[in-house]
Amino acid sequence: MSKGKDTPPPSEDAPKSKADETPVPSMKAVPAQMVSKIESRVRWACIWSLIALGLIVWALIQPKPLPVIVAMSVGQAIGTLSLLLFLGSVALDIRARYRLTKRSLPTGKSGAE
Amino acid sequence: MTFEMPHLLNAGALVCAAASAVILVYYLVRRPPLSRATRVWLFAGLGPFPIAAAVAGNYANLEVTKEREFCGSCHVMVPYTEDATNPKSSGLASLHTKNKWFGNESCYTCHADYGMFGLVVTKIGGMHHVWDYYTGDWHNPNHRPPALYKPYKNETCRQCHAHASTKEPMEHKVHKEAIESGAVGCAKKGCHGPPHHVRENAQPGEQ
Repeated sequence: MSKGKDTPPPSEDAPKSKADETPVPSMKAVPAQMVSKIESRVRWACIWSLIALGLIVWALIQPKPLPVIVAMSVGQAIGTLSLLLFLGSVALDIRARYRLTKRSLPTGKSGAE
Repeated sequence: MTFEMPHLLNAGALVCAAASAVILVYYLVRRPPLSRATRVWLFAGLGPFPIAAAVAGNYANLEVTKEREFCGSCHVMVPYTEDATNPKSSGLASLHTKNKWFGNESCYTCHADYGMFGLVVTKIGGMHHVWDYYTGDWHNPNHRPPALYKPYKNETCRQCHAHASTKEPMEHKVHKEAIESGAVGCAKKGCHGPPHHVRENAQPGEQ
């Protein structure tokens, strides 16, 4: 995640990798409001995924027409949406960190001050 | 004790669902910070494990829907499944159920559409029956008996009973064109039917 301050600076002769040039800010650096939003979405993804799993398990334990149809339609849809919600929140997190990284980098005129 | 594929898949799906549930409940209860490691195991709980549970569960469910017990779980179908398993019945369903190649899947074997996508087409068609079952007042004695929505295809019988042999009975030779066009049904009364003896009280015009 974040590069610690204790890490010795690379020597000038050593080739600088891209990761060294653009350190990824930690979760602490992301605004609290954004962190709360991301965590809330992840929690909802977990809750929806548990509901989807419940429907799938219901059909496996009680293989009757209604449970099977519900599991293979509603259950799958909810499960897919929960995964998309999680991936969306991860993308949001990455974007927030990327913006922070971009802001913290020296940009010649304003960034270095 | 035998381990059949649907049962193994069923067990596999339950294990994957349990693993996923453990991860998700742990996250919801403990609420650890969203570090990279947390996101990786959370992804396992939201992605691979539930997807594996869904895929294995779908396959197991599709296999279960082929079984006669599943067909009989709608109470209106019980007389038909009972007739099929009645060794004293002379109906086509009973005669075929006695055959070991039909066995526990005799309903599906005779009612499934033939072809590459037969299973999918049959199951989508079955949704119409399920809708009918849950929306109709089947307890009403005046309600019509369950019926097929399309005439029974002779091709289904001919999957096994090919009729291009020299031992073909005279009736088949005489009605060859009508049989091939579907104008004469193999399972209709007067030919080889009725397929189920409970169908003797069916309304006129119903297969």
